[in-house]
Amino acid sequence: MFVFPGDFLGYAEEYVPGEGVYEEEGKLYAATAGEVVVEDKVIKVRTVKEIPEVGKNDIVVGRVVDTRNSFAMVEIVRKKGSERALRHYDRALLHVSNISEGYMKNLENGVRYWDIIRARVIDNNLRLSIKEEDMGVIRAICRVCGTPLVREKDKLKCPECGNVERRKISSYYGSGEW
Amino acid sequence: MASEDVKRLKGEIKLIVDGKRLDGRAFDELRPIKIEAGVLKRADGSCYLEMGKNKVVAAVYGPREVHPRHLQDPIKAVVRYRYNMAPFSVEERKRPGPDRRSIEISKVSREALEAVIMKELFPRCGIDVFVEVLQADAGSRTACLNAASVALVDAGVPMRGMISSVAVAKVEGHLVLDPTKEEDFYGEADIPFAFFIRNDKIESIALLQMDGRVTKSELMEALQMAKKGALEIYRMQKEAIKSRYIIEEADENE
Ligand SMILES: [Zn+2]
Repeated sequence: MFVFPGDFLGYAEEYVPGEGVYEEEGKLYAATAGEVVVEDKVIKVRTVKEIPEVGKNDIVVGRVVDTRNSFAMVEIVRKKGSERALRHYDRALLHVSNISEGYMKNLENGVRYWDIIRARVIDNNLRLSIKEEDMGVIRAICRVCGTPLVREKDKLKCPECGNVERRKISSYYGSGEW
Repeated sequence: MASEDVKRLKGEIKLIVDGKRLDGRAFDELRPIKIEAGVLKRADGSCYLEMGKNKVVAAVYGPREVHPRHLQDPIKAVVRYRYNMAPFSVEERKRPGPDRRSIEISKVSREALEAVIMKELFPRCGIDVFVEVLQADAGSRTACLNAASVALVDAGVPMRGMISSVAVAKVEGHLVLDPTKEEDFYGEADIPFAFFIRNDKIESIALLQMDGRVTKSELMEALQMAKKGALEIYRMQKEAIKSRYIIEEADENE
């Protein structure tokens, strides 16, 4: 059944309200347009257009906006599979232990301020990991002159000033995709 | 226009002839309406709508981060609405940018939509609604609200119900639904309404303005007329969303 916002779906005694459903004075109504789905007494509306929310196992892209000794803060902009701004835009945390499979002592060998990274969300508290081969930095700028760095094997090199930097580089680096 | 004013003063322009309006409509009849949802690729939700000669397009963005940050509300989303007329939308070119009239329309329209949007679900976020009038006739604010409501549904923004809007005017002593520019211009009163509609029923009034003079009983009659018109519009709004959704389904199955 296709419903519209405000359509009456049933009484609160009959169902548990799920996504896209709201309760008012014991009555359940649709909050979005879409198809009604009932599973185990939970009634929800499969909305015509989802507002993305980030959860465990999602792949995201974001920018490193702060680095400390053992962790970096990352501003997530998009979740893979969605072109839309996220429902919540809290900062995510990337701990130094989640940068590479091996031991990494210095966070700055993995990510640096203003890097753009492709990462996996590993829990529901917005903690990230870039251990996988296709995860990591996908774009970085030279910290000497600000020019975008170019990948050269396992290092990044500045085409302008020749400065060489280390990162946990994603296989997507420089491809313009993620 | 000046010579028409003179004719009007002389009583030469009749807006109602033999119980019919200039465009042949009955007193309680809407202008032709066309609604299409999801017309803009870059917006989260959108709608193109024609109501008589009005041509408007609405775009919804969000929920998204609010800039500047001091406008954020820690417990609910901030709704912003911008009504804007294109310079070429009226007979005499309009200077671009907001003016008193469009600021006022934006405010009352935003308040109407805030009656249905479930803002409490999106703390610190913003929901931005932009409505552009490409061609203006009377009732552009009602056309814009109808388009905005469809665009919000198209964007998947959770709402308690929908908003449908229509105006009633008083012309030569008669109440008429959905007035044209001439009826608005030469009429005795113009009363735009918007309603919060839920489950095919009118729940409450979300917008009510009045310009001109009517008696109390005329206002009550106008309300009944507007309710009937709004429910018709509501059905068309739903149809627009439904047809967009069904087309998308078909695409996915290809
Ligand atoms: Zn450099």
